[in-house]
Amino acid sequence: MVVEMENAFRALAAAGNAGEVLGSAGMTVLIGLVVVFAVLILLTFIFWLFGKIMSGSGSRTAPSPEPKPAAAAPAVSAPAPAVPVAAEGISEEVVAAIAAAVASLAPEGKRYAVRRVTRAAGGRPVWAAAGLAENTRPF
Amino acid sequence: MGALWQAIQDILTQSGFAKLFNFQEGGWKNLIMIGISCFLMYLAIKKQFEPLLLLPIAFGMLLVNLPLGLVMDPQHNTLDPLNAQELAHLQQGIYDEVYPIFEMNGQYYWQHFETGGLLWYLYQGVKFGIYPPLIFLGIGCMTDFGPLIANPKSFLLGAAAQLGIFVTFFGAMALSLTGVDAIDFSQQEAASIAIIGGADGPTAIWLTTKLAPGLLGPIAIAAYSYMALVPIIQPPIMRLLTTKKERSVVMDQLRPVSKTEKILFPIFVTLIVVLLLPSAAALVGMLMLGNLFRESGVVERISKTAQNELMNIITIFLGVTVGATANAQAFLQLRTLLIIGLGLIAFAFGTAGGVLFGKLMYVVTKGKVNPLIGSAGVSAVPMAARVSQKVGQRENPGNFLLMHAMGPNVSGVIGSAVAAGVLLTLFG
Repeated sequence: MVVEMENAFRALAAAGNAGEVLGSAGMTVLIGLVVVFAVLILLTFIFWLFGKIMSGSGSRTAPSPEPKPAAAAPAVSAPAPAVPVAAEGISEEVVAAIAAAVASLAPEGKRYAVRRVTRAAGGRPVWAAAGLAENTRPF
Repeated sequence: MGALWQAIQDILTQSGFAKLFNFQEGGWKNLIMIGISCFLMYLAIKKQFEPLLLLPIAFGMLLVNLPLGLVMDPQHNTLDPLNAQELAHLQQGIYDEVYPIFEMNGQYYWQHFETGGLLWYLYQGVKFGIYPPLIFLGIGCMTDFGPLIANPKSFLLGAAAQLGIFVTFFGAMALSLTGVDAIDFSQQEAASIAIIGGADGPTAIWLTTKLAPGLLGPIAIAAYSYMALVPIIQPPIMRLLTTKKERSVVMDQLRPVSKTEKILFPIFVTLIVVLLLPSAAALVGMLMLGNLFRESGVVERISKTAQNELMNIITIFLGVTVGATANAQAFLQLRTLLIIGLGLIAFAFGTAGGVLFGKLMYVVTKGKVNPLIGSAGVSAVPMAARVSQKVGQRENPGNFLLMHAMGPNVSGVIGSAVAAGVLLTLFG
Protein backbone atom coordinates (compact mmCIF):
# COMPACT_ATOMS: atom_id res chain seq x y z
CA MET A 1 0.00 0.00 0.00
CA VAL A 2 2.80 2.36 1.00
CA VAL A 3 4.75 1.50 -2.14
CA GLU A 4 1.70 2.16 -4.30
CA MET A 5 1.14 5.50 -2.62
CA GLU A 6 4.80 6.37 -3.07
CA ASN A 7 4.59 5.52 -6.76
CA ALA A 8 1.43 7.58 -7.12
CA PHE A 9 3.12 10.55 -5.46
CA ARG A 10 6.18 10.18 -7.70
CA ALA A 11 3.99 10.04 -10.79
CA LEU A 12 2.15 13.12 -9.61
CA ALA A 13 5.40 14.98 -8.93
CA ALA A 14 6.79 13.94 -12.32
CA ALA A 15 3.61 15.10 -14.04
CA GLY A 16 3.81 18.40 -12.18
CA ASN A 17 7.45 18.74 -13.14
CA ALA A 18 6.64 17.84 -16.75
CA GLY A 19 3.93 20.47 -16.84
CA GLU A 20 6.34 23.02 -15.44
CA VAL A 21 9.08 22.16 -17.97
CA LEU A 22 6.71 22.21 -20.93
CA GLY A 23 5.04 25.38 -19.69
CA SER A 24 8.38 27.14 -19.39
CA ALA A 25 9.48 25.83 -22.81
CA GLY A 26 6.19 27.04 -24.32
CA MET A 27 6.73 30.44 -22.75
CA THR A 28 10.23 30.56 -24.28
CA VAL A 29 8.76 29.76 -27.70
CA LEU A 30 6.20 32.50 -27.29
CA ILE A 31 8.68 35.11 -26.03
CA GLY A 32 11.19 34.19 -28.72
CA LEU A 33 8.74 34.43 -31.61
CA VAL A 34 7.17 37.63 -30.30
CA VAL A 35 10.55 39.35 -29.84
CA VAL A 36 11.92 38.20 -33.23
CA PHE A 37 8.75 39.32 -34.99
CA ALA A 38 8.59 42.59 -33.03
CA VAL A 39 12.17 43.53 -33.95
CA LEU A 40 11.73 42.63 -37.61
CA ILE A 41 8.29 44.25 -37.86
CA LEU A 42 9.83 47.44 -36.48
CA LEU A 43 12.57 47.23 -39.11
CA THR A 44 9.94 46.55 -41.80
CA PHE A 45 8.01 49.62 -40.77
CA ILE A 46 11.09 51.84 -40.59
CA PHE A 47 12.38 50.82 -44.01
CA TRP A 48 8.93 51.00 -45.53
CA LEU A 49 8.73 54.57 -44.22
CA PHE A 50 12.21 55.15 -45.46
CA GLY A 51 11.27 53.97 -48.94
CA LYS A 52 8.27 56.32 -48.95
CA ILE A 53 10.40 59.29 -47.89
CA MET A 54 13.12 58.51 -50.40
CA SER A 55 10.72 57.99 -53.30
CA GLY A 56 8.89 61.21 -52.30
CA SER A 57 12.07 63.28 -52.29
CA GLY A 58 13.19 61.54 -55.49
CA SER A 59 10.03 62.58 -57.32
CA ARG A 60 10.37 66.19 -56.09
CA THR A 61 13.91 66.55 -57.34
CA ALA A 62 13.21 65.00 -60.72
CA PRO A 63 9.63 65.86 -61.64
CA SER A 64 9.91 65.21 -65.35
CA PRO A 65 11.71 62.09 -66.36
CA GLU A 66 13.97 62.58 -69.34
CA PRO A 67 12.49 61.40 -72.60
CA LYS A 68 14.12 58.08 -73.32
CA PRO A 69 16.08 58.31 -76.55
CA ALA A 70 14.76 55.99 -79.20
CA ALA A 71 13.53 53.27 -76.85
CA ALA A 72 15.49 50.09 -76.80
CA ALA A 73 12.59 48.10 -78.05
CA PRO A 74 12.24 48.19 -81.71
CA ALA A 75 13.58 44.81 -80.82
CA VAL A 76 10.92 42.27 -81.56
CA SER A 77 9.52 43.52 -84.78
CA ALA A 78 8.10 41.12 -87.25
CA PRO A 79 10.08 39.72 -90.11
CA ALA A 80 7.29 40.60 -92.53
CA PRO A 81 7.66 44.41 -92.56
CA ALA A 82 11.41 44.08 -92.93
CA VAL A 83 11.77 46.60 -95.67
CA PRO A 84 10.07 49.56 -93.96
CA VAL A 85 11.95 48.81 -90.71
CA ALA A 86 15.24 48.74 -92.60
CA ALA A 87 14.31 52.06 -94.02
CA GLU A 88 14.06 53.46 -90.49
CA GLY A 89 17.73 53.05 -90.04
CA ILE A 90 17.95 49.52 -88.74
CA SER A 91 20.50 47.53 -90.62
CA GLU A 92 19.48 44.44 -92.56
CA GLU A 93 21.74 42.30 -90.36
CA VAL A 94 19.77 43.29 -87.26
CA VAL A 95 16.48 42.58 -89.01
CA ALA A 96 17.83 39.21 -90.12
CA ALA A 97 19.00 38.39 -86.59
CA ILE A 98 15.60 39.29 -85.11
CA ALA A 99 13.80 37.32 -87.80
CA ALA A 100 16.02 34.32 -87.06
CA ALA A 101 15.29 34.65 -83.33
CA VAL A 102 11.54 34.73 -84.00
CA ALA A 103 11.82 31.82 -86.44
CA SER A 104 13.73 29.75 -83.89
CA LEU A 105 10.76 29.96 -81.52
CA ALA A 106 8.21 28.90 -84.14
CA PRO A 107 6.98 25.33 -84.36
CA GLU A 108 9.01 23.42 -86.91
CA GLY A 109 7.60 22.82 -90.37
CA LYS A 110 4.62 25.16 -89.90
CA ARG A 111 4.08 28.45 -91.61
CA TYR A 112 3.26 31.39 -89.41
CA ALA A 113 2.75 35.10 -89.57
CA VAL A 114 3.47 37.72 -86.93
CA ARG A 115 0.34 39.86 -86.78
CA ARG A 116 0.95 41.86 -83.67
CA VAL A 117 3.82 42.60 -81.30
CA THR A 118 2.86 43.80 -77.82
CA ARG A 119 4.86 44.27 -74.69
CA ALA A 120 4.24 41.49 -72.14
CA ALA A 121 2.30 42.85 -69.17
CA GLY A 122 4.54 43.56 -66.19
CA GLY A 123 7.50 42.01 -67.92
CA ARG A 124 10.96 43.46 -68.10
CA PRO A 125 12.63 44.67 -71.31
CA VAL A 126 13.95 41.85 -73.41
CA TRP A 127 17.58 42.86 -72.98
CA ALA A 128 17.09 43.19 -69.21
CA ALA A 129 15.64 39.68 -69.20
CA ALA A 130 18.58 38.41 -71.24
CA GLY A 131 21.03 40.08 -68.87
CA LEU A 132 19.19 38.64 -65.90
CA ALA A 133 19.25 35.18 -67.38
CA GLU A 134 22.97 35.53 -68.01
CA ASN A 135 23.70 36.71 -64.47
CA THR A 136 21.60 34.12 -62.70
CA ARG A 137 22.67 31.16 -64.82
CA PRO A 138 25.58 30.22 -62.51
CA PHE A 139 23.11 29.76 -59.67
CA MET B 1 70.32 -7.58 -34.30
CA GLY B 2 68.16 -8.30 -31.27
CA ALA B 3 68.61 -4.75 -30.05
CA LEU B 4 67.54 -3.37 -33.42
CA TRP B 5 64.42 -5.53 -33.41
CA GLN B 6 63.69 -4.43 -29.85
CA ALA B 7 64.06 -0.77 -30.85
CA ILE B 8 61.68 -1.21 -33.77
CA GLN B 9 59.18 -2.97 -31.49
CA ASP B 10 59.45 -0.14 -28.95
CA ILE B 11 58.83 2.49 -31.61
CA LEU B 12 55.83 0.58 -32.92
CA THR B 13 54.28 0.02 -29.50
CA GLN B 14 54.66 3.69 -28.66
CA SER B 15 53.27 4.89 -32.01
CA GLY B 16 49.82 6.13 -32.82
CA PHE B 17 49.17 2.93 -34.77
CA ALA B 18 49.42 0.85 -31.60
CA LYS B 19 46.94 3.16 -29.87
CA LEU B 20 44.62 3.21 -32.83
CA PHE B 21 44.42 -0.56 -33.09
CA ASN B 22 44.23 -1.09 -29.34
CA PHE B 23 40.53 -1.87 -29.27
CA GLN B 24 40.43 -2.35 -25.49
CA GLU B 25 41.33 1.31 -25.02
CA GLY B 26 38.70 2.50 -27.46
CA GLY B 27 40.91 2.85 -30.53
CA TRP B 28 37.94 1.71 -32.65
CA LYS B 29 36.14 4.92 -31.80
CA ASN B 30 38.97 6.90 -33.35
CA LEU B 31 38.83 4.66 -36.39
CA ILE B 32 35.12 5.41 -36.81
CA MET B 33 35.78 9.13 -36.50
CA ILE B 34 38.55 8.92 -39.09
CA GLY B 35 36.03 7.18 -41.37
CA ILE B 36 33.47 9.98 -40.78
CA SER B 37 36.07 12.67 -41.47
CA CYS B 38 37.08 10.94 -44.71
CA PHE B 39 33.40 10.79 -45.72
CA LEU B 40 33.01 14.52 -45.02
CA MET B 41 36.13 15.21 -47.07
CA TYR B 42 34.61 13.17 -49.88
CA LEU B 43 31.42 15.27 -49.68
CA ALA B 44 33.45 18.48 -49.69
CA ILE B 45 35.80 17.56 -52.55
CA LYS B 46 33.74 15.33 -54.79
CA LYS B 47 30.22 16.67 -54.16
CA GLN B 48 31.39 20.21 -53.35
CA PHE B 49 29.05 20.53 -50.34
CA GLU B 50 30.14 23.81 -48.69
CA PRO B 51 33.79 22.86 -49.30
CA LEU B 52 35.17 26.09 -47.84
CA LEU B 53 34.04 24.99 -44.42
CA LEU B 54 33.46 21.28 -44.67
CA LEU B 55 37.01 20.56 -45.80
CA PRO B 56 38.80 22.26 -42.88
CA ILE B 57 36.20 20.86 -40.46
CA ALA B 58 36.75 17.33 -41.77
CA PHE B 59 40.52 17.68 -41.61
CA GLY B 60 40.39 19.07 -38.07
CA MET B 61 38.29 16.05 -37.15
CA LEU B 62 40.88 13.75 -38.72
CA LEU B 63 43.78 15.42 -36.88
CA VAL B 64 42.19 15.30 -33.46
CA ASN B 65 41.35 11.62 -33.78
CA LEU B 66 44.90 10.55 -34.53
CA PRO B 67 46.15 9.31 -31.15
CA LEU B 68 49.15 11.05 -29.58
CA GLY B 69 48.92 13.98 -32.01
CA LEU B 70 47.75 16.13 -29.10
CA VAL B 71 46.76 18.99 -31.40
CA MET B 72 43.95 20.03 -29.06
CA ASP B 73 45.79 19.50 -25.77
CA PRO B 74 45.39 22.52 -23.49
CA GLN B 75 48.46 24.20 -22.07
CA HIS B 76 49.13 23.34 -18.43
CA ASN B 77 51.68 23.51 -15.65
CA THR B 78 53.29 20.53 -13.93
CA LEU B 79 55.36 20.38 -10.73
CA ASP B 80 58.44 18.12 -10.75
CA PRO B 81 60.49 17.47 -7.61
CA LEU B 82 64.10 18.68 -7.83
CA ASN B 83 66.67 15.88 -7.97
CA ALA B 84 69.75 15.85 -5.69
CA GLN B 85 71.98 17.67 -8.16
CA GLU B 86 69.41 20.39 -8.85
CA LEU B 87 68.85 20.75 -5.09
CA ALA B 88 72.60 21.14 -4.57
CA HIS B 89 72.71 23.79 -7.29
CA LEU B 90 69.85 25.58 -5.63
CA GLN B 91 71.57 25.55 -2.24
CA GLN B 92 74.84 26.80 -3.79
CA GLY B 93 72.99 29.59 -5.50
CA ILE B 94 73.77 28.10 -8.90
CA TYR B 95 70.42 28.29 -10.49
CA ASP B 96 70.31 27.56 -14.16
CA GLU B 97 66.63 26.86 -14.58
CA VAL B 98 64.31 29.49 -15.85
CA TYR B 99 61.32 27.79 -14.24
CA PRO B 100 60.04 28.94 -10.86
CA ILE B 101 60.89 26.83 -7.81
CA PHE B 102 58.27 26.05 -5.17
CA GLU B 103 58.69 24.59 -1.72
CA MET B 104 55.96 22.40 -0.31
CA ASN B 105 56.34 20.38 2.91
CA GLY B 106 60.13 20.69 2.81
CA GLN B 107 60.30 19.35 -0.74
CA TYR B 108 61.37 21.59 -3.65
CA TYR B 109 59.60 21.44 -6.99
CA TRP B 110 60.14 23.26 -10.20
CA GLN B 111 57.26 24.21 -12.37
CA HIS B 112 57.15 23.16 -15.99
CA PHE B 113 55.04 25.05 -18.41
CA GLU B 114 53.69 22.59 -20.99
CA THR B 115 52.61 24.30 -24.18
CA GLY B 116 49.27 23.26 -25.67
CA GLY B 117 48.56 21.85 -29.12
CA LEU B 118 48.40 24.21 -32.07
CA LEU B 119 44.67 23.85 -32.56
CA TRP B 120 44.01 24.48 -28.86
CA TYR B 121 45.50 27.95 -29.24
CA LEU B 122 43.56 28.62 -32.42
CA TYR B 123 40.42 27.31 -30.69
CA GLN B 124 40.53 30.18 -28.19
CA GLY B 125 39.06 32.38 -30.92
CA VAL B 126 36.03 30.09 -30.99
CA LYS B 127 35.89 29.70 -27.22
CA PHE B 128 35.85 33.43 -26.57
CA GLY B 129 33.35 34.06 -29.37
CA ILE B 130 35.80 36.03 -31.55
CA TYR B 131 35.65 34.20 -34.88
CA PRO B 132 31.87 34.14 -35.55
CA PRO B 133 31.44 37.93 -35.36
CA LEU B 134 34.52 38.36 -37.59
CA ILE B 135 32.94 36.00 -40.11
CA PHE B 136 29.84 38.18 -39.90
CA LEU B 137 32.01 41.21 -40.67
CA GLY B 138 33.07 39.54 -43.91
CA ILE B 139 29.51 38.45 -44.70
CA GLY B 140 28.35 42.05 -44.18
CA CYS B 141 30.94 43.24 -46.71
CA MET B 142 29.72 40.69 -49.23
CA THR B 143 25.98 41.19 -48.76
CA ASP B 144 23.82 43.51 -50.79
CA PHE B 145 20.82 44.39 -48.63
CA GLY B 146 19.25 46.20 -51.61
CA PRO B 147 16.49 43.62 -52.21
CA LEU B 148 15.52 43.80 -48.54
CA ILE B 149 15.43 47.60 -48.55
CA ALA B 150 13.40 47.59 -51.77
CA ASN B 151 10.89 45.16 -50.27
CA PRO B 152 10.92 45.56 -46.47
CA LYS B 153 8.11 42.99 -46.14
CA SER B 154 10.87 40.43 -46.64
CA PHE B 155 11.87 41.06 -43.03
CA LEU B 156 8.73 39.22 -41.97
CA LEU B 157 9.69 36.11 -43.93
CA GLY B 158 13.10 36.19 -42.23
CA ALA B 159 11.28 36.24 -38.89
CA ALA B 160 8.83 33.46 -39.78
CA ALA B 161 11.66 31.14 -40.80
CA GLN B 162 13.00 31.28 -37.23
CA LEU B 163 10.00 29.13 -36.24
CA GLY B 164 12.21 26.04 -36.54
CA ILE B 165 14.49 27.30 -33.77
CA PHE B 166 11.72 27.66 -31.24
CA VAL B 167 9.80 24.52 -32.21
CA THR B 168 12.99 22.51 -31.80
CA PHE B 169 13.71 24.11 -28.45
CA PHE B 170 10.30 22.90 -27.30
CA GLY B 171 10.94 19.43 -28.77
CA ALA B 172 14.33 19.11 -27.05
CA MET B 173 12.84 20.13 -23.72
CA ALA B 174 10.01 17.62 -24.18
CA LEU B 175 12.58 14.90 -24.92
CA SER B 176 14.37 15.68 -21.67
CA LEU B 177 11.21 14.61 -19.84
CA THR B 178 11.66 11.01 -20.94
CA GLY B 179 14.16 10.59 -18.12
CA VAL B 180 16.78 8.98 -20.37
CA ASP B 181 20.16 10.38 -19.36
CA ALA B 182 21.47 10.67 -22.92
CA ILE B 183 18.63 12.99 -23.94
CA ASP B 184 18.25 14.91 -20.74
CA PHE B 185 19.01 18.29 -22.28
CA SER B 186 19.30 21.38 -20.10
CA GLN B 187 17.64 24.59 -21.30
CA GLN B 188 21.03 25.90 -22.42
CA GLU B 189 21.71 22.74 -24.41
CA ALA B 190 18.22 22.73 -25.93
CA ALA B 191 18.69 26.38 -27.00
CA SER B 192 22.06 25.59 -28.59
CA ILE B 193 20.61 22.62 -30.49
CA ALA B 194 17.61 24.66 -31.60
CA ILE B 195 19.74 27.41 -33.13
CA ILE B 196 20.77 24.93 -35.84
CA GLY B 197 17.36 25.80 -37.32
CA GLY B 198 18.66 29.29 -38.05
CA ALA B 199 20.85 27.65 -40.74
CA ASP B 200 23.60 30.04 -39.84
CA GLY B 201 26.89 28.40 -38.88
CA PRO B 202 28.60 31.35 -37.18
CA THR B 203 25.49 32.15 -35.13
CA ALA B 204 25.14 28.50 -34.05
CA ILE B 205 28.80 28.38 -32.98
CA TRP B 206 28.62 31.72 -31.22
CA LEU B 207 25.56 30.78 -29.16
CA THR B 208 26.80 27.28 -28.37
CA THR B 209 30.16 28.52 -27.07
CA LYS B 210 28.23 30.76 -24.70
CA LEU B 211 25.50 28.34 -23.59
CA ALA B 212 26.71 24.75 -24.03
CA PRO B 213 30.37 24.58 -25.11
CA GLY B 214 30.41 20.81 -24.60
CA LEU B 215 28.07 20.38 -27.58
CA LEU B 216 30.06 22.57 -29.96
CA GLY B 217 31.39 19.74 -32.15
CA PRO B 218 28.09 18.03 -32.98
CA ILE B 219 26.17 21.30 -33.30
CA ALA B 220 28.69 22.95 -35.62
CA ILE B 221 28.94 19.87 -37.79
CA ALA B 222 25.15 19.47 -37.93
CA ALA B 223 24.68 23.18 -38.75
CA TYR B 224 27.20 23.20 -41.59
CA SER B 225 26.05 19.84 -42.93
CA TYR B 226 22.46 21.02 -43.18
CA MET B 227 23.56 24.30 -44.76
CA ALA B 228 25.34 22.21 -47.37
CA LEU B 229 22.27 20.04 -47.81
CA VAL B 230 19.83 22.94 -48.31
CA PRO B 231 19.25 22.01 -51.99
CA ILE B 232 18.23 18.51 -50.93
CA ILE B 233 16.23 19.24 -47.76
CA GLN B 234 14.21 22.28 -48.79
CA PRO B 235 12.61 21.55 -52.20
CA PRO B 236 10.35 18.66 -51.06
CA ILE B 237 9.02 20.76 -48.17
CA MET B 238 8.49 23.74 -50.47
CA ARG B 239 6.61 21.67 -53.02
CA LEU B 240 4.56 19.93 -50.36
CA LEU B 241 3.30 23.19 -48.88
CA THR B 242 2.57 25.11 -52.08
CA THR B 243 0.31 24.70 -55.09
CA LYS B 244 1.51 24.86 -58.68
CA LYS B 245 -0.32 28.17 -59.06
CA GLU B 246 1.47 29.68 -56.07
CA ARG B 247 4.86 28.47 -57.27
CA SER B 248 4.27 30.06 -60.67
CA VAL B 249 3.69 33.58 -59.38
CA VAL B 250 5.90 36.12 -61.15
CA MET B 251 6.70 38.92 -58.75
CA ASP B 252 6.90 42.61 -59.65
CA GLN B 253 10.31 44.02 -60.35
CA LEU B 254 11.98 45.52 -57.29
CA ARG B 255 12.35 49.28 -57.11
CA PRO B 256 15.87 50.69 -57.43
CA VAL B 257 17.45 51.53 -54.08
CA SER B 258 19.46 54.71 -53.62
CA LYS B 259 22.96 54.82 -52.17
CA THR B 260 21.74 56.91 -49.22
CA GLU B 261 19.28 54.17 -48.24
CA LYS B 262 21.99 51.55 -48.48
CA ILE B 263 24.32 53.58 -46.26
CA LEU B 264 21.65 54.35 -43.68
CA PHE B 265 20.44 50.73 -43.54
CA PRO B 266 23.33 49.28 -41.48
CA ILE B 267 23.29 52.26 -39.11
CA PHE B 268 19.55 52.00 -38.47
CA VAL B 269 19.58 48.22 -38.09
CA THR B 270 22.43 48.43 -35.58
CA LEU B 271 20.69 51.14 -33.59
CA ILE B 272 17.36 49.36 -33.44
CA VAL B 273 18.49 45.76 -32.94
CA VAL B 274 21.27 46.47 -30.46
CA LEU B 275 19.17 48.88 -28.41
CA LEU B 276 16.33 46.37 -28.29
CA LEU B 277 18.47 43.27 -27.85
CA PRO B 278 21.94 44.15 -26.52
CA SER B 279 23.02 40.51 -26.46
CA ALA B 280 22.95 40.43 -30.28
CA ALA B 281 25.38 43.37 -30.45
CA ALA B 282 28.48 41.38 -31.40
CA LEU B 283 26.87 39.53 -34.33
CA VAL B 284 24.59 42.24 -35.68
CA GLY B 285 27.15 44.98 -35.03
CA MET B 286 29.88 43.23 -37.00
CA LEU B 287 27.48 42.30 -39.81
CA MET B 288 26.36 45.88 -40.17
CA LEU B 289 29.87 47.32 -39.82
CA GLY B 290 30.94 45.12 -42.73
CA ASN B 291 27.95 46.30 -44.74
CA LEU B 292 28.72 49.94 -43.98
CA PHE B 293 32.29 49.36 -45.22
CA ARG B 294 30.81 48.07 -48.44
CA GLU B 295 28.10 50.62 -49.03
CA SER B 296 29.97 53.74 -47.92
CA GLY B 297 32.40 53.21 -50.78
CA VAL B 298 35.13 55.16 -48.98
CA VAL B 299 37.02 52.26 -47.39
CA GLU B 300 37.34 49.93 -50.31
CA ARG B 301 40.66 48.51 -49.08
CA ILE B 302 39.22 47.56 -45.71
CA SER B 303 36.11 46.14 -47.31
CA LYS B 304 38.16 43.96 -49.64
CA THR B 305 40.36 42.74 -46.79
CA ALA B 306 37.37 41.91 -44.60
CA GLN B 307 35.58 39.93 -47.29
CA ASN B 308 38.65 38.19 -48.69
CA GLU B 309 41.83 37.80 -46.64
CA LEU B 310 40.34 38.20 -43.16
CA MET B 311 37.32 36.07 -43.96
CA ASN B 312 39.48 33.34 -45.45
CA ILE B 313 41.90 33.29 -42.53
CA ILE B 314 39.08 33.12 -39.99
CA THR B 315 37.32 30.45 -42.04
CA ILE B 316 40.42 28.27 -41.88
CA PHE B 317 40.84 28.77 -38.12
CA LEU B 318 37.15 28.32 -37.40
CA GLY B 319 36.71 25.26 -39.60
CA VAL B 320 39.73 23.34 -38.48
CA THR B 321 39.26 24.03 -34.77
CA VAL B 322 35.53 23.29 -34.79
CA GLY B 323 36.34 20.01 -36.51
CA ALA B 324 38.94 19.36 -33.84
CA THR B 325 36.29 19.52 -31.11
CA ALA B 326 34.81 16.32 -32.53
CA ASN B 327 37.05 13.83 -30.78
CA ALA B 328 35.77 10.28 -30.55
CA GLN B 329 34.91 10.41 -26.84
CA ALA B 330 32.81 13.56 -27.19
CA PHE B 331 31.27 12.79 -30.56
CA LEU B 332 30.35 9.11 -30.56
CA GLN B 333 27.39 9.31 -28.26
CA LEU B 334 23.65 8.84 -28.58
CA ARG B 335 23.33 12.59 -27.92
CA THR B 336 25.18 13.39 -31.12
CA LEU B 337 22.71 11.39 -33.20
CA LEU B 338 19.83 13.10 -31.44
CA ILE B 339 21.35 16.53 -31.96
CA ILE B 340 21.74 15.81 -35.65
CA GLY B 341 18.14 14.56 -35.79
CA LEU B 342 16.80 17.58 -33.90
CA GLY B 343 18.83 19.85 -36.17
CA LEU B 344 17.08 18.38 -39.19
CA ILE B 345 13.69 18.97 -37.56
CA ALA B 346 14.70 22.56 -36.79
CA PHE B 347 15.75 23.10 -40.36
CA ALA B 348 12.57 21.56 -41.79
CA PHE B 349 10.32 23.64 -39.52
CA GLY B 350 12.28 26.78 -40.37
CA THR B 351 11.70 26.15 -44.07
CA ALA B 352 8.04 25.37 -43.46
CA GLY B 353 7.59 28.49 -41.32
CA GLY B 354 8.98 30.68 -44.09
CA VAL B 355 6.90 29.05 -46.83
CA LEU B 356 3.69 29.16 -44.78
CA PHE B 357 4.21 32.84 -44.02
CA GLY B 358 4.88 33.30 -47.72
CA LYS B 359 1.49 31.70 -48.40
CA LEU B 360 -0.10 34.12 -45.98
CA MET B 361 1.51 37.01 -47.83
CA TYR B 362 0.32 35.46 -51.12
CA VAL B 363 -3.25 35.61 -49.83
CA VAL B 364 -2.96 39.08 -48.28
CA THR B 365 -1.37 40.61 -51.39
CA LYS B 366 -3.87 38.81 -53.64
CA GLY B 367 -1.28 36.64 -55.34
CA LYS B 368 1.58 39.10 -55.73
CA VAL B 369 4.05 37.23 -53.50
CA ASN B 370 5.47 33.87 -54.50
CA PRO B 371 5.51 31.76 -51.30
CA LEU B 372 8.68 30.02 -52.47
CA ILE B 373 10.76 33.02 -51.41
CA GLY B 374 9.75 32.32 -47.80
CA SER B 375 12.00 29.29 -47.54
CA ALA B 376 15.01 31.56 -48.13
CA GLY B 377 14.31 33.12 -44.73
CA VAL B 378 16.47 30.43 -43.11
CA SER B 379 19.72 32.38 -43.72
CA ALA B 380 22.15 29.98 -45.49
CA VAL B 381 23.12 32.84 -47.81
CA PRO B 382 22.92 32.55 -50.78
CA MET B 383 22.18 28.85 -51.07
CA ALA B 384 18.58 29.10 -49.80
CA ALA B 385 17.81 31.94 -52.25
CA ARG B 386 19.21 29.84 -55.10
CA VAL B 387 16.89 27.01 -54.08
CA SER B 388 13.86 29.35 -54.25
CA GLN B 389 15.03 30.42 -57.70
CA LYS B 390 15.46 26.83 -58.89
CA VAL B 391 12.16 25.53 -57.54
CA GLY B 392 10.37 28.56 -59.03
CA GLN B 393 12.02 28.06 -62.40
CA ARG B 394 10.88 24.46 -62.53
CA GLU B 395 7.30 25.74 -62.74
CA ASN B 396 8.03 28.73 -64.93
CA PRO B 397 11.43 28.89 -66.64
CA GLY B 398 10.99 32.62 -67.27
CA ASN B 399 10.54 33.39 -63.57
CA PHE B 400 13.45 34.97 -61.73
CA LEU B 401 12.90 34.80 -57.99
CA LEU B 402 16.55 35.13 -57.02
CA MET B 403 16.52 38.84 -56.16
CA HIS B 404 13.16 38.55 -54.42
CA ALA B 405 14.47 35.61 -52.39
CA MET B 406 17.64 37.48 -51.42
CA GLY B 407 15.48 39.81 -49.31
CA PRO B 408 14.20 37.11 -46.93
CA ASN B 409 17.60 35.41 -47.17
CA VAL B 410 19.58 38.32 -45.74
CA SER B 411 16.72 39.12 -43.39
CA GLY B 412 17.13 35.54 -42.11
CA VAL B 413 20.70 36.37 -41.12
CA ILE B 414 19.44 39.27 -39.01
CA GLY B 415 16.52 37.15 -37.76
CA SER B 416 18.71 34.27 -36.59
CA ALA B 417 21.10 36.70 -34.87
CA VAL B 418 18.09 38.23 -33.10
CA ALA B 419 16.82 34.77 -32.13
CA ALA B 420 20.29 33.90 -30.79
CA GLY B 421 20.23 37.14 -28.79
CA VAL B 422 16.83 36.20 -27.33
CA LEU B 423 18.06 32.74 -26.31
CA LEU B 424 21.23 34.19 -24.80
CA THR B 425 19.23 36.73 -22.83
CA LEU B 426 16.90 34.02 -21.53
CA PHE B 427 19.46 31.34 -20.72
CA GLY B 428 22.88 33.00 -20.66
